[in-house]
Amino acid sequence: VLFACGGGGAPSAPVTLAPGTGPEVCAAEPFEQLRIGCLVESGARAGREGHGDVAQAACDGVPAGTWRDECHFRAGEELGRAGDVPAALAHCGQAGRFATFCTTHAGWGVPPSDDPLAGWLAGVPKLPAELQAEGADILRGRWWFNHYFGTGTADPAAARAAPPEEAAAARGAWALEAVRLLDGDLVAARAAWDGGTVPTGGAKEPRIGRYDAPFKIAGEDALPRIRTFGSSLRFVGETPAEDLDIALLEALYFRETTPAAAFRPFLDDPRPRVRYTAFRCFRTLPSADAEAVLRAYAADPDPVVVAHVADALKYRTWLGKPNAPGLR
Amino acid sequence: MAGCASVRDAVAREECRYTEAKALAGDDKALKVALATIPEDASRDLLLYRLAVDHPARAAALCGQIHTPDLHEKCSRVLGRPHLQGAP
Repeated sequence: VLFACGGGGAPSAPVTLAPGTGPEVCAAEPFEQLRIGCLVESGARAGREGHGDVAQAACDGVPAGTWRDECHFRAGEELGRAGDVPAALAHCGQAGRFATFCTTHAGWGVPPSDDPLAGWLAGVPKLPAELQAEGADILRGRWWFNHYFGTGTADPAAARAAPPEEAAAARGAWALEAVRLLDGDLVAARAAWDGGTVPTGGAKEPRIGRYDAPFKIAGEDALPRIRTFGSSLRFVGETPAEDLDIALLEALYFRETTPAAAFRPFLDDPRPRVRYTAFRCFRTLPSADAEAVLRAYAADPDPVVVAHVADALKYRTWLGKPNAPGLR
Repeated sequence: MAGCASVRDAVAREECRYTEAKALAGDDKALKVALATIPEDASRDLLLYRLAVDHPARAAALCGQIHTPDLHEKCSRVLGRPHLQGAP
């Protein structure tokens, strides 16, 4: 937006910048706040068009602080959506206190492509040291998500052959698509994995589903977890077989038509991580008997289960109340 | 702020109003009274936008008072992102 200046009249009506113009036009803005807004928008637009270097020039022109961080955030997430992961992470690495948001948005916005995962991971060193493990986790999750989800084919061969550091992400992504194509039939999904058969069906667009914000439950944070769609978290199983079961439960949850009742049998699973997953899924979905079911576990010998129940009853999470942990 | 109206140069007049408005930024009532003394919509809206950039956490309230459609839309687009609501 440009305000024509000079002379004795009031500032004129704002003028929209023409598409394709670079950040240099922002210098014509007569007031600092307009220049900042112009540069932030210019950075975002350059990112959308896949020009990380132009976005860099835009953000370099913004005074250090909130707005420069925001400029890099906007540029990073747009570059992610444009498919240029290393450039996106280079901006997220400069996004200051918005670096984590930026990495999450950029990573989960990357579209399907033929790029190898290694090419994406090459950008991780541009992130702050404390964010690199999370960034790599997000990218592994997204790469495998793109490989399977919404494609209409759930051939387990690629997931079964994934290297160890990608195995859980690969299994999780395969499970999302298999469960979708098999209408939530976990027995059929397990058989497809074990037998190497290939569930097929229609593609899905948009490639989204149901997920929740991570809970902070004492005792859970020490267990290994990976990031899933939208930077939710899921447990990694103690064995590949257990991990597949967790992945299948998460896939059921992601499938928006799955009711809470589907998770009830797993509330008594002997494997703690499977059980905790089932509790998280059950208690964030609406059901008429949620409170009664949860109260029955209030004196469970497992303190993590007790913590889940207490948190659920406190926030009545099955109602999806605002300001409570819940669905997105 | 009314004294700024006599400044002939448009940019200097805006700076005059902005300087006075900044001093009132923490006092919504006084700011509202001061804004009401500005006769030009474009000038009032520009001031609101500038204050919103200075105080992103208050952007929702400030952007909401902007009448110029393009500037209102820009204000909401640039400043309306949730993480900015916690910015200083």
